[in-house]
Amino acid sequence: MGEIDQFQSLFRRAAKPVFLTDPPEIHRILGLGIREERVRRLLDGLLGEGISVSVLEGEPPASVSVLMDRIGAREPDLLLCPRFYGCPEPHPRSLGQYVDVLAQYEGCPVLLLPAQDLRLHRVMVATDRLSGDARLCSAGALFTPEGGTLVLAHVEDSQALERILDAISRIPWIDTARAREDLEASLLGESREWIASVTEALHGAGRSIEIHSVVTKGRSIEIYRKLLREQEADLLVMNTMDEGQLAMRGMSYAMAIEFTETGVLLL
Amino acid sequence: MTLLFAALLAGMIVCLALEEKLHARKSVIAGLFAMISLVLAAFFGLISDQPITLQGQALAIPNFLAPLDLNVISIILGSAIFIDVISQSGIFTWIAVRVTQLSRGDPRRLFAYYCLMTVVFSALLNNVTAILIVGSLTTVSLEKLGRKDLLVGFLLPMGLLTNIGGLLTLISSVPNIIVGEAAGFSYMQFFLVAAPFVAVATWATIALGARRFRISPLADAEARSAGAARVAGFQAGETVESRGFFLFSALLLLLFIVAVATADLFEVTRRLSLGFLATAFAVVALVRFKHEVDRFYQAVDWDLILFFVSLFLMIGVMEAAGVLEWIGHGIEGIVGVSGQAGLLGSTALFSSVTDNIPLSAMLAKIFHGTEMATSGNWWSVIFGANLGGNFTPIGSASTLVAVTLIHGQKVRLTFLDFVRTSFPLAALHVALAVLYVLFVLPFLPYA
Repeated sequence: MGEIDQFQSLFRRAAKPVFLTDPPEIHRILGLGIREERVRRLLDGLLGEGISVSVLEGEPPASVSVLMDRIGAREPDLLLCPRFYGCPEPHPRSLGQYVDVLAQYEGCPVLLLPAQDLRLHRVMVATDRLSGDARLCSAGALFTPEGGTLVLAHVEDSQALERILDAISRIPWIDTARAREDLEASLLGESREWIASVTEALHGAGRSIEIHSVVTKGRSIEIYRKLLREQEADLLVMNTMDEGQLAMRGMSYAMAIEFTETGVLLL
Repeated sequence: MTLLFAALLAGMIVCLALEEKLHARKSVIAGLFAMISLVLAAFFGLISDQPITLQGQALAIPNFLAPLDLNVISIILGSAIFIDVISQSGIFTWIAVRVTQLSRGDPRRLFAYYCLMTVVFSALLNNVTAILIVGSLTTVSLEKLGRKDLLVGFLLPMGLLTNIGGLLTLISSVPNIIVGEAAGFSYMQFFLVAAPFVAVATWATIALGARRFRISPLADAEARSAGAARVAGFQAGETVESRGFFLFSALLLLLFIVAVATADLFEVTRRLSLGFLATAFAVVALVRFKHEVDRFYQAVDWDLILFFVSLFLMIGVMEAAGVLEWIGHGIEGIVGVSGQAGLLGSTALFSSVTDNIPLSAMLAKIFHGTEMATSGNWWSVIFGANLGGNFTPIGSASTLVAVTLIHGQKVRLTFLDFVRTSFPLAALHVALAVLYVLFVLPFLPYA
């Protein structure tokens, strides 16, 4: 099996990830607690022709279930709502009862709007598993206007990586230093190659957007906050849940709570 | 006495067939039997105590070593080291990835290309390395294309094709070397006779394999575009570490093929033999790794080399004991009753359950210099020894690797599944070979 594994590893290394565009299909937009003009102003020119926009103005109904039923009846492809929708006195550690449920809505992406007016120019996609996530990158590209900037950020989970390296360090026949070097090169290199593939595909498709690549390691929310600040991102695009999960994954809940000054698109 | 030695020979063959069960390598099995046979041969006076002489000069070589075919051993050793060294350049993996790109992700095209590549690689490399390269790439490519359902359909025919590719040249497989040398075939002569059969058998395998395993081309433009995009990500350059060494290896490989193919045309190379050529190229290739040659020496299949040494010595004893004469009479009977078809079939049957090398070595010795040394008989043995390995997963090391690759992907394939699935193709190969030997070979002027 040793030789088989060697050859398979060699060929997997040669098989670079290829980005094939896979954006969410958006035909019906539903705004919650905002005016229709604001929705149209925000998304003008971004999503193409023939998009229908409707809104549920004012405060949400008393029951979250009733709200979800009304949303379900409209079958939107994209939901927009203010960051503190239905929460006049927001708590710093909570999304509020409505946004908490909306953030985990599986029917469509949810765009949380900051208090101030949101102008989409610099969009940042951030995750700890960027390579191969065509849907996430496509969504980021979709919301980046022509002439704008798309930042593709991969933040490798350093805690998980250290845990693996710690386990390796206790296996006598694996060279720990070599394993560290090779693992980091492989994980981070894969993301760089993915970003290169995304860049090539988007530019090849005629998109006039600047694409920045960020590949780093980290774990705490501070890494993401620092990136948002450095990149001056207007909109953060991230995955919300892993398949088969009900609750938000990893850093996404923390980011949704803490990044209140930036628009957040939850996929 | 002959019966005793025949029993020893039979015992060795049975033990070799049960190599896995005995957890013993073939060199140890053959070595033990050779040692016992030599002791008994000396006891019965079958071994002369006179030294071997060359042009009147006594050589410091014991008489019992006379049957050792150093030319065969040096071909195997030299070409193994040579191929191992140049493989380090990534030349074969580079070719494999380029071929994948050319397929544009179409399963039918990919299957055909991989099958052709398997045949060519098996001709140049040893069968096991060929299936390791192409088989490993198959698992990765099908994973990339989301078509792991085609794994068995790809790997089983490719496993069988390693034995077809092993027929292509004089040095493509060990039975070819042993029998070809005994028959006095030149490299080109061997190639010209074998190539048409290999071409037809390969085409038939691809056509029937694609139908049997439902390997269809991509249905529409969208699927073709997505398929092409998926394999476009393969970068052949990733398998090459040094461009200079890559080019050097490509040139050296080409020179090796030309040198071996034209060895008979020149006095110098004719005198020095193919074994010298193979070893010389190995030495030249090793210059690239002059400080670290040990790793290539370690990578040599010493089990096989030492097995050969023991096997040749055994055969020498069996010849002296009259066992080979008995076997020769038996084969005369088979050929008398069923002709070359019977010889081919029985060789294939034997090879399907045990190592084809002892049989090839014995038959080469039996036929050499006798009335049985006809072109048809030689080729019957060559075809039978190579193709017999296709009937069972234990019939040849390369089909075993194909099955290991399948199991490695968590796909269930039992012994019976293999036999049931591959039997039609394996039987077709043997049938084609019989037809070829009976109806085409007699009309080839160079056969």
